[in-house]
Amino acid sequence: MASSMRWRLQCGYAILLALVIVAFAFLLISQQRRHAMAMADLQWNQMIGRAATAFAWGGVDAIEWPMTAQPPQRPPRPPIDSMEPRTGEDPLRDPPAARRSEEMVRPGPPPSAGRGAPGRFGRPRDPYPQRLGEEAGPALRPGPGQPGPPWVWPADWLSRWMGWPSLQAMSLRVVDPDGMVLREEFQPSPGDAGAIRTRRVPLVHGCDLLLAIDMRPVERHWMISSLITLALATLFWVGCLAVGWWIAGQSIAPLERFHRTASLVSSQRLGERVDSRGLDRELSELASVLNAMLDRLDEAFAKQKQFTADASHELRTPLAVWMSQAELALSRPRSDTEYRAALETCLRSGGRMKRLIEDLLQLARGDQGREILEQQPADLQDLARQVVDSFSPLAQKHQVRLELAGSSVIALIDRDGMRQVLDNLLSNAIQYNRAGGSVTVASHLEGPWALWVVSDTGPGIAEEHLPHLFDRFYRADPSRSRQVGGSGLGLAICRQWVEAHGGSIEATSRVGEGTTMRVRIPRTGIDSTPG
Amino acid sequence: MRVLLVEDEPDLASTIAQALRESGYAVDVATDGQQALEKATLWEYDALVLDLMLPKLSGLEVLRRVRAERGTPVLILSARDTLADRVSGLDLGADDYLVKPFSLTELLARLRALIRRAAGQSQSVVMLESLGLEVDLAKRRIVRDGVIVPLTAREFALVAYLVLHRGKVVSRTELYDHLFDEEDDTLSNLLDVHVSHIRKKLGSETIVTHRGQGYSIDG
Repeated sequence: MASSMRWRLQCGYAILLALVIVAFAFLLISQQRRHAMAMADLQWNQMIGRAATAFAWGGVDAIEWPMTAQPPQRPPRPPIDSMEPRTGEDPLRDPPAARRSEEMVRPGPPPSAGRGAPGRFGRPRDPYPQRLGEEAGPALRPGPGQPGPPWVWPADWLSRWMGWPSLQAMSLRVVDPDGMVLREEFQPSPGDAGAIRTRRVPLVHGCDLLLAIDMRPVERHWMISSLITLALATLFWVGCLAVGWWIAGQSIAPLERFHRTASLVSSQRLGERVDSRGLDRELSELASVLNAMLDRLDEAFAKQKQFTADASHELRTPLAVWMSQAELALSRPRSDTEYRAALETCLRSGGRMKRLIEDLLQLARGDQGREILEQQPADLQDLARQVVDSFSPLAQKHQVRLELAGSSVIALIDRDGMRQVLDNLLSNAIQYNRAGGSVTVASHLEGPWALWVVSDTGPGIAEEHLPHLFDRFYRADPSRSRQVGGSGLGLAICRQWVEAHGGSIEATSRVGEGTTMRVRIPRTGIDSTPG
Repeated sequence: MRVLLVEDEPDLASTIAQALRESGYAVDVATDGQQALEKATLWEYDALVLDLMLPKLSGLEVLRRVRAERGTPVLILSARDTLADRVSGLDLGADDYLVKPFSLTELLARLRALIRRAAGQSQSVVMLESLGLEVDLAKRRIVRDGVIVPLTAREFALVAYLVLHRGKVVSRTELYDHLFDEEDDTLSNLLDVHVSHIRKKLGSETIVTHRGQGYSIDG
């Protein structure tokens, strides 16, 4: 899982990075081309200058042949005050374009008026004002005060590292104003005509100089430098991919922690938690959510485990009575009275098991989702009267007075369920009462609620037991319930029924004075005037 | 042998108590942890049968406190059957653990084994060579020259106690404490009556009287 996510991250990153690097490499390569052309221009100008000087001083035969040019040197850094921007209109530096027209072997693009014109902040828009094949525009001339060739980083570095080729003149022709050829030289070369460029330059006495050079070394130089650039860009791309792979791995590593914890938890070790230290904010939030979920799961499992242990304990005890009683009775011949006593004991514990099993089944049914409540309007007071009547024999046995109070309250209830609730509450209230005490059952209206209040005059329940009173198998005093014979599930069943009705049940108690149980049932769908 | 039975379920307590009494034990019953602790520290029992889920004081707590004072053999009798419960019970010093529901026969056998081991006796049949007696603690009978000698439960209990503490002089108080439970209204000369009956049945040299100290069985 983790590796495919890493791959997906990595692929997206690689494509994006490749787009950026290709664009950047393209910029670099075009810059390198401009640089190469400007360098060629410089060397060309160097040769033209030498030829023009020789012609002016010594005539046409003084021009050297064959003619080569040295690679231009980087000019010393000019003083700061001479670095003011060059304006395109300086007549000293830029003689009229008409006098320096170029002749091309191939027709160039139409003259561009914008070339060399001052751009924003008075700087030339184009750092390479003169371009091969363009007739108009200021020429690049090496000389003192000139800004020189475009010593631009990184094209210049690369050029110098590779070594700039020395250029060679291919042909030379000097013509007088009448068009007579004064001198013509030619350097044989296997090159094709397309790589040869010619320039026409005015000399003294109205003569013109036509000088052609072979551009192939320049082209080759540019080609190699672009290849090197591409290779470097690819290397850079691969390096970035490696770093990206590492970063992707780092950011996915916390997920491994989640995975490890989750797999530990799934193998029954609910105590495991995700270590959220050193995680990013998003992941640490996820970790705390996951941990909270595990806590609740753990708690639920512990509760379930406790319940199972309690249930098995409660079932084993009567079974133990049963079995040991039978074994004892059978161990030797006994009198009829002894057999009778043994059978009575068995019957008693059998009855206890039956009650317990019924209660457990009842709870299990409720846990699975209470079967649809058969709700119908009923008078709570009426129901209470019926239950109280049925409990009068038990009350007499415990010498407890039963009282009915309150008024008639109609609510939408499941009669059987609510009867069971009151049964359990009343049997507790009577059996845990003192002799001569009383139990009061009252029905009330309280806002949107229908209320049953069952209060007794028993010994009361200590405060620390109250929150757990409705838990399964919870017993405030285990020894007493043994004598009474409760399963420890009665109040849990009460709560289940009441909550199925959308109501609530709560207990308040004062030690020594008695306990009060309040059952609230919502009166939805019933006319609020008591019937 | 005197045993303390701690069990809060009344039906179960009376059943086990009856079974123990029928096997010749003197039995005291405690129905909650507090009572159990008081009795167990007050009397010198031969064994304790202890339930774990008790009112007032849990069985494990009773066990821990009893262990701090006495080395009485303890058998835990509980409905809790998880491994953790059994391990914690045994680690706290219980000598045996029996899960409810149980067989009475097994409970009795385990109790016998506990008492025997606590007395440093490894076999349930003890041969008294010099007296020509064979005391079978499991079947609760004494064989003399291949013939079973009929003894009452009390008489056998007395002999069994002396046999388990063979070679030692057992005082009269100790015998009273271990042969009669708290509900017995014992007459001070009841012991002498039992001793004389046993001497009649097994021979006068069986039980040796140490004047002012007590009785012993040697051999």
